[in-house]
Amino acid sequence: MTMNDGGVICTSGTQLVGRLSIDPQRLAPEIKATESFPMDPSVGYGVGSWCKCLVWASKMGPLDTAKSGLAASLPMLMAAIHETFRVEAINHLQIFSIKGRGFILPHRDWVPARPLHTRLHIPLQTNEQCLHAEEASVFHMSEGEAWVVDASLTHSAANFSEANRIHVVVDFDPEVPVHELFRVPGNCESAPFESIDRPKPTSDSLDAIYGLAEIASARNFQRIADMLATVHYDRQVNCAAMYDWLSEIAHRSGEAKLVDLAAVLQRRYLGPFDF
Amino acid sequence: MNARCMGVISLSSDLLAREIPIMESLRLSSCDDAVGPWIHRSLWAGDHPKAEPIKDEVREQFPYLDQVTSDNFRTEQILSVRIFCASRGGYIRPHRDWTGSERAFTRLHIPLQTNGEALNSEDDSVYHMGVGEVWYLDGSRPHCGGCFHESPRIHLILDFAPDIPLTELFRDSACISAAPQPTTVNRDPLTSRQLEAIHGLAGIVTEKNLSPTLNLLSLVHFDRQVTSASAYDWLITIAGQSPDPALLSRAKQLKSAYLGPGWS
Repeated sequence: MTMNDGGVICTSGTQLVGRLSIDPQRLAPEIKATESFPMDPSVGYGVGSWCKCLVWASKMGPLDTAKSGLAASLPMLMAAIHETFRVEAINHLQIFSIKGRGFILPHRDWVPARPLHTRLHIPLQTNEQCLHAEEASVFHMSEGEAWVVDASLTHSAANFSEANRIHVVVDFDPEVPVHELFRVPGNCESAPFESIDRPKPTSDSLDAIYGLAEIASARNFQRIADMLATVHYDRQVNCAAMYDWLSEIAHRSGEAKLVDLAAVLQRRYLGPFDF
Repeated sequence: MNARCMGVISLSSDLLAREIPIMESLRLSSCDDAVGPWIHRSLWAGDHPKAEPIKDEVREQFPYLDQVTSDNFRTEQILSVRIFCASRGGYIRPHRDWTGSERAFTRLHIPLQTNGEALNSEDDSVYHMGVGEVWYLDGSRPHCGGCFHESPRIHLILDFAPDIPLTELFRDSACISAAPQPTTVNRDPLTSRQLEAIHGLAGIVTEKNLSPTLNLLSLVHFDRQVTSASAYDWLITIAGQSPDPALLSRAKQLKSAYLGPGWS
């Protein structure tokens, strides 16, 4: 990371790489159509209204001939993806939705040595209260932007507004270089992002966090995790710090069961993974 | 506590065993007031006195639930029949079902599948309902329910017209056997250190985490001898220490939304 006048310029794998040519107004009926998709709330990862839906996978047949299923109900979006990207390199296409106030806990999807995909996020409907976090950075992705998200780094996402936030998430073959994911490689930009500046945690903040040891129990431990999963959006800390806080809370509680639970949560969300 | 077990109805474990896996596999509806996996599904609906089984492929998979409902209860007084399913820490925030002096409905809970971590509360009492027990819940009091076990807790929920005496909800008195001793959960009192830790959350509370903070505070009463309504008072105290005046206003709104205006 480097500093500039406005904040922190982040130069990790996550970056804005291009734009999808879509007219938000014309796309509105398709955004509406996603509301009836069979969404998976991803219990344990998603909090509130965070949910996702697999729209298309390569095993379903070529994307450009998808005449049935959910992809067929998004013709303009599919056409824009087809015009912009080499669809033959796409593994999966998903919709990630947060229908007003919700978030996903900080996690990693794979380890750097074994990337499962090159993941692109393209916001279809969003607002300034929709934020993404990666390690110690917090940023906003605007409508139509295509972002490569390095899912091997600890990351999270949230919608702190009452309005809906909908992203289409495109997973590509990780062997294909990013610029070659574009039908016209010259359309691939490479722009580092600027993290939103937040104050550092104070001693009061840490006292409040560790004080949770007083009320922590097996019944409320997941809810403690949920609450801690939002702190990095307001404070300049790595989003993975919540797992260290959970571990410390568990140890201070003196409950062996909570120490085990904290370890289980950390492994579930940050790895190491079995795949 | 006004909630009480009215008795036990006979349930066939074989017939339930056919339908419970279907309930567990259903994509049920979430609820804005729920936290985690707490989901529900309507089986009977309509305007009283014409509530009737919903004619869809989901309800038709539950002939035994229909039979339990019609064999035991005066279906002509039913407003709705639903299943409430909770697991893995899923619960509904402490709330009151109505705020005026007039009852909106009479609600009965009948657990179909449960476990020791399936708990309900009313005011400062926490209790567990056993399979087949028929429980009357007083929706005018702050109450809450959830399941803190991996295995789902599934309740059949019957709402009746509010003006029918409880004893007249059953088809006949032979439907129900004597109520067992209720299983209440004793908890330790909240200590001053714990209260201090709760109020200390002012050190991290913001507009972004006010709701998750309430979700945590709403569970404290399952471990400590306090009323579920305390969660809202704590939230107001915490928010009141924030430099953001909007936070206090939001905390007060949450209390009013769940417990009704003027509840203290």
